[in-house]
Amino acid sequence: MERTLPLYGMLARYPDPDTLVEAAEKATAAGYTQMEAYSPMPIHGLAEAIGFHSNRLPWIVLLGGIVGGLTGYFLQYTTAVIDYPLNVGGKPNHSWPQFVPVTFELTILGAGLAAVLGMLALNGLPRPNHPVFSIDEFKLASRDGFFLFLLARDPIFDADSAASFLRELEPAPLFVVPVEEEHA
Amino acid sequence: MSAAPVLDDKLAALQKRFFGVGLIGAIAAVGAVLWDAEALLQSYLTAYVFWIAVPLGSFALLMLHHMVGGRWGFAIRRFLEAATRTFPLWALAFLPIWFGLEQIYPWAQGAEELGESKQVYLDREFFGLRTVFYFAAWIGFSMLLNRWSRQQDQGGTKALLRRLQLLSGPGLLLFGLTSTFSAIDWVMTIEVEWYSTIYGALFITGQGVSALTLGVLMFTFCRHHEPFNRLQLADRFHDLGNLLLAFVMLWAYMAFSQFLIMWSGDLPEEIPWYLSRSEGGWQYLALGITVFHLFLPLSLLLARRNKRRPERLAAIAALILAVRYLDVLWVVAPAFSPGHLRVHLFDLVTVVALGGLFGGFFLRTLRARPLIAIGDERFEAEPKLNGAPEHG
Repeated sequence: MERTLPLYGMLARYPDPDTLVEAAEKATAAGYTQMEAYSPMPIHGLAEAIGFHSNRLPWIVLLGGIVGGLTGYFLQYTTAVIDYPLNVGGKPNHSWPQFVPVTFELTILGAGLAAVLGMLALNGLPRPNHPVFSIDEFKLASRDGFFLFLLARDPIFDADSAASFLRELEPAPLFVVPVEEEHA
Repeated sequence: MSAAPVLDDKLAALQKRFFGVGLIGAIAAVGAVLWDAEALLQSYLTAYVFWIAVPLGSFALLMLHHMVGGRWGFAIRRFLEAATRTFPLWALAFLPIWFGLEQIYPWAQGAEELGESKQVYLDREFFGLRTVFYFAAWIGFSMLLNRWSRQQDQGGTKALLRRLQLLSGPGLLLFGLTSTFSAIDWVMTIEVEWYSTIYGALFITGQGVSALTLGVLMFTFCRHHEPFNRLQLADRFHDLGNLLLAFVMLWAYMAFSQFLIMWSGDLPEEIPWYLSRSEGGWQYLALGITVFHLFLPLSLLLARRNKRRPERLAAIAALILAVRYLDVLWVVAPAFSPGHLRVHLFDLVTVVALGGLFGGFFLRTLRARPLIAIGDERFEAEPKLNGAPEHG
């Protein structure tokens, strides 16, 4: 295997949330499309700054809800109408008003499961390791570090220009992140 | 002291328009007395129950916000407060119902077929006394809430906030009881045989929906002006959209629970209420309410972008408020015309008259105070208040 990708990306650490958002906005404006931002807490506007607009998750949740709802309804329909048709209080076997609560609950269940599992899948999780973990200082991302990460697979990525770009805003500490060993 | 000049001019113009429309409606309603007083009173009751839901829901949301706080409340609190200051007007507007009691309530015409226990409750004087009590409670509590909130503007002290909270806890309890019993008295007793234990909760959630739509519409109207443009608009509209969604769901839960239980029980003293509302045209109204009060707003309010854009959320709120009227109509009107759809011209006249007058008085009292309760110390937590205006 050839070592075509010695570099996974370039990581910069900024001192505060505002600088991180500004840097991310500049990177997006400069044409970078492959980037990640890491921070210890949610930052208002950061998602938009790294070029995140919308994703497919709502559609996955909708699909999960529809599948859940249909499952709930047909579960009741097949038991009450086909398999065990019992006369309860003179009601027709197919008494839809009584099917509504379970249908509703299973819609919510399906949508909820789809939301969690879909979120994990779209984020590529679970993922036991990540190249940025090789940088010791990255631990600060869950304490007081605000990181912007430009990925090498970005078409406009170039190690030198990325480094100078990340430093443009702030003389930030830079870290060169190599690809994971097993892929190297 | 009061609203910023530009916004105040706009509100004053709106107030004038509301008063104008309300006055025309009121004149038409007075003329209609000569035509058919009974039909007019029945339409009047529908319009009355529909509009008073706005101040009642505002009263509850206001106390809820005093109890639990939250940034959503500061965006609409002064609208809610202004709505509760119209209670004296509603007490006055109850007089036609009081003087037309016989035309509306069968039990007021002579109650020989009632059981003894119902006869005690459904007594003209007792009914009047209860209504006086409801209004005394609503006016008394809202006066204190408004006075203390006004004092906060001069300097919010912890003691004032504490006092507001001490009043709001018991106030919510009192609201739950008075709102439930007023719904029973004013509406449920038209069909004297029928009763439902979820009735009060159904009305209360409807009132919450109505009050929230008022908040969204007024907030949208004011959003570009001081001091609203200093709030994080998209986030606040998002909050209100989520609340609206929750209240719509809660309303649907109550409405469906009542239906499911009565449909399952199929008892002769319960089911006629649904039979008279699912025949002769009323069923289409029920279908419309299901679609436009539940499915459509639910789908629209699930989407994030519909909640974060004020003009979209305002359009959804306006739709919901309009369907609130249809829901009240479906609950009230079939009592007078069971199993036969009847939509009268008077329905329109009364809803316009009361809505116009209510809107006018609401805006008049709203303009007398600053439009955001900046004095509340919890408001300081709002981060971007002194920051750059944001256009959501």
